[in-house]
Amino acid sequence: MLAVIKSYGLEGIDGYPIDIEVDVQGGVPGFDIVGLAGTSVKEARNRVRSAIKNSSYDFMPRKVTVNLAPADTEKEGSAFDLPIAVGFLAATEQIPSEGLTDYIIIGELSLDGGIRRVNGILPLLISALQRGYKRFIVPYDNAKEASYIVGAKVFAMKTLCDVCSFLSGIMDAKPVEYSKYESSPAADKYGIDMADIKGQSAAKRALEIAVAGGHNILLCGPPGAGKTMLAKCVPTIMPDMTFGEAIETTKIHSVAGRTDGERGMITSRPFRAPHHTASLFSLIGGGAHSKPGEVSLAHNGVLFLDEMPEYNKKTLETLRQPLEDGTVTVTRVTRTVEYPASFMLVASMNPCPCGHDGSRFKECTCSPIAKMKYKARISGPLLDRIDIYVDVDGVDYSELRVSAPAETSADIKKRVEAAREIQRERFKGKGFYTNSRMTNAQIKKYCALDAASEKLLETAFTRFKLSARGLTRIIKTARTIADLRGAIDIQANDIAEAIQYRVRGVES
Amino acid sequence: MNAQVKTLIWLNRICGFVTPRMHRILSLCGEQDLRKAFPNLRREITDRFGADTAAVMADTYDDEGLLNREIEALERAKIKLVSIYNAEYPDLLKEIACPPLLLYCKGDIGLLKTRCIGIVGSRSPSRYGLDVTTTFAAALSQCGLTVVSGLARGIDSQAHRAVLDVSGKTIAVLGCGIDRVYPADNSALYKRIEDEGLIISEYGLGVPPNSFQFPERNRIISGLSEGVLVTEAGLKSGSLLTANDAISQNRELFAIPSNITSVRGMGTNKLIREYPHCAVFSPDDIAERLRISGHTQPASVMQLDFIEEKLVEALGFTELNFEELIQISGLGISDLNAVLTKLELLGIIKKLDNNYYGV
Repeated sequence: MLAVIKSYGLEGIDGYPIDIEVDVQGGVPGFDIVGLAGTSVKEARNRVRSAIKNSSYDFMPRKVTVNLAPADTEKEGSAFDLPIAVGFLAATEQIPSEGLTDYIIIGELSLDGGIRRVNGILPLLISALQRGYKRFIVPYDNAKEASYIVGAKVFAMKTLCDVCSFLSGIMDAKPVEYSKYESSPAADKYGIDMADIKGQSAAKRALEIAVAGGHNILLCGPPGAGKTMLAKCVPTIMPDMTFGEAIETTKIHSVAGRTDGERGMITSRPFRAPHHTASLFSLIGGGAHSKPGEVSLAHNGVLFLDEMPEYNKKTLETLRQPLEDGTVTVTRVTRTVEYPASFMLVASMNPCPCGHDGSRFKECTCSPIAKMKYKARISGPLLDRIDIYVDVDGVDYSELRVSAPAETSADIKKRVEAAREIQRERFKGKGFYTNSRMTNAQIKKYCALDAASEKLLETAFTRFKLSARGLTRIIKTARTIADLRGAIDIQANDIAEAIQYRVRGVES
Repeated sequence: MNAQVKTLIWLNRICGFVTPRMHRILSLCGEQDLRKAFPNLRREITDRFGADTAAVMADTYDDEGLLNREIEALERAKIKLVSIYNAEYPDLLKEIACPPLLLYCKGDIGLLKTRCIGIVGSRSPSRYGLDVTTTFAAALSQCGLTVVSGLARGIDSQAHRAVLDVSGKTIAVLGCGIDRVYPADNSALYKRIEDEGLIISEYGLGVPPNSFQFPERNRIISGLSEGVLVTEAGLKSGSLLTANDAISQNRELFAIPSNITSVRGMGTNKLIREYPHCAVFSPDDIAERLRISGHTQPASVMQLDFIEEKLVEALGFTELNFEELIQISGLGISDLNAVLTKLELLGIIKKLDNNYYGV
């Protein structure tokens, strides 16, 4: 007998339908899985056999052939256990085979017949829904994640027995109730607040501008100055994630197996801080199955590179494409996948390898060559993609004891959201919504400068020996500063402030 | 090319002799051309310099092909030759003990005849050292002096740069072959000096930067100059050797005092203790000693408003960080940033590391 079950496989963060054909015949007993099944798929036969037996069904010694169609794409993962088991039971007529193809069945089996959670439920459901599939059987542990999808009838099941009873019509089940998306409250989301940081007004202001305009930022300062803490505060002043953004981010995290069952959805902006020994593939994505890397996990959030010059130079250079396009293309032997990777880059560095160059408390012990080499590790093209550069103060004792109340993240966030609103209006229908992504033509259009500003820029250009790109960065930053003021026109003061955030020292 | 220069190229490039030996060998033949006179002088050269030296010379003295190839290589590299017999050779340099016989040059050799001042110092200077170097080099250059230095890291490069930035004239004296850039990271500066100033070396094509050549180079820096200014030097700095050369060549010596606690300025402070008259506090001091008039001090009459005045005054006393400036000015962060940019653009204040500002 032959049974066909519908299931879904993952290709990057999109799914594609897979027909699981289970054929049971007489002959020499055996269990074969074909259709470019990976190791974890092939191992399904053992789980399926035990799960069926332990669920009090009969696993007859027959010749079983399972085909995963389309047969020419590689399949990985344990999500086909459940459909294979259901297919076997249908093919051996232990459950009725009518109406089985109305459901997309996904789930991993444990040996006792229980159903375990699988990765990537959210992207699977979304793409299946787009293809017109409406009914799904998924593991119970994935229910929360699936509950955000409007229009899908999702049945979350705990055991193979439940699935069989449900499919045979013996047991009735209710589809999972929809959850309403709400961004989690700020307080418990990040556990840190701008108000916790003493002093550092210049750096805080720079971060506010950076977040408001989606600009990448480089913090430079001695060790212990609070660069990391400042960076960790960045998500606290970013606008709340919209449902669309949350879905996008959750899709990626779901594929990477990083969603938690309780919340189901990533509701706070991701803050990814890969260690500086991170390999190229962990950053960009890759591995045998083209998994998303840190740049994609940071999608719609912050990628923080602490001690940026300590990273492998090649690894850093690969950031150029995602910084430019907001996506990253990962090509491996088996497949080419495009992941979204639109993040805000927050980088930090010391002024020199020992960290005390220019310090008034400690002597710098670096040789001039060591200093030069250190700075040269961040290449020009990469620096071109960083609009704002800010020095972080070395803090002395008296500043640490200051008890004057600082502004809270919530206050700053309000201003940021207002500025973002202006930008969203400005760039309606352009496919992006922050100043940092303006093209040269758009800069001309949206950043008209008055005579005083032009004069100022010209003086700065010659005096500080700016490059053409440096100039563009200043204008973009000035646009954001003006937006923060709620002003339509850029004024000379905005330009003047933006000039303070130009990249210095690193660039020669 | 005249025969004398050819002889010098032969001695230096083909025989591989250094300047002192060239001087001694040339002193044997008097007015005659050494290459013509060599067969007669061979015995004497063997006696005085040994058989090896004589053999090298004997092998090559009449090899015109070899010599022409060498000359062609120099021409290809666009290198101009100024020998001690040329009119372009600076008179001041002839006065020193063992003057270079042949200078390999790139750039404007007219500068050799101008009035020069040497500016040298540490390879790892402090910010103070770099600042005073910039100020002095620019000011002295605007007085019409040509600034001579050694294209080393730190003070030397800064002096060259400061002069080029005010479109002044500068000469770089190399301690390696004329076509070698050492240190390599100065290649952009090398190009600039080649285009806008003059690069000279006692060493021909391809000579590596051997350490013993740098003290030899220093004698040329001081030899070209009427005075030598050491802006900042540590106790072991090579620029102290240049200072010694300046004294022995009877040149004026100038040194800028450093903070007594500064390790990087110990050498200059020591110079001042040994030669108290060498201390200078402004470019004018040097101009006066060298009897140069027309020091063009940049006019700094600018209209500053009340808050700007207040900031400049406060920064005049000590370096301050951003938080302190907020306190002093009473301005908001974004306004303060704008004011700081203005003052920075006017060249009145400077941004330092770690968010500190200074004048």
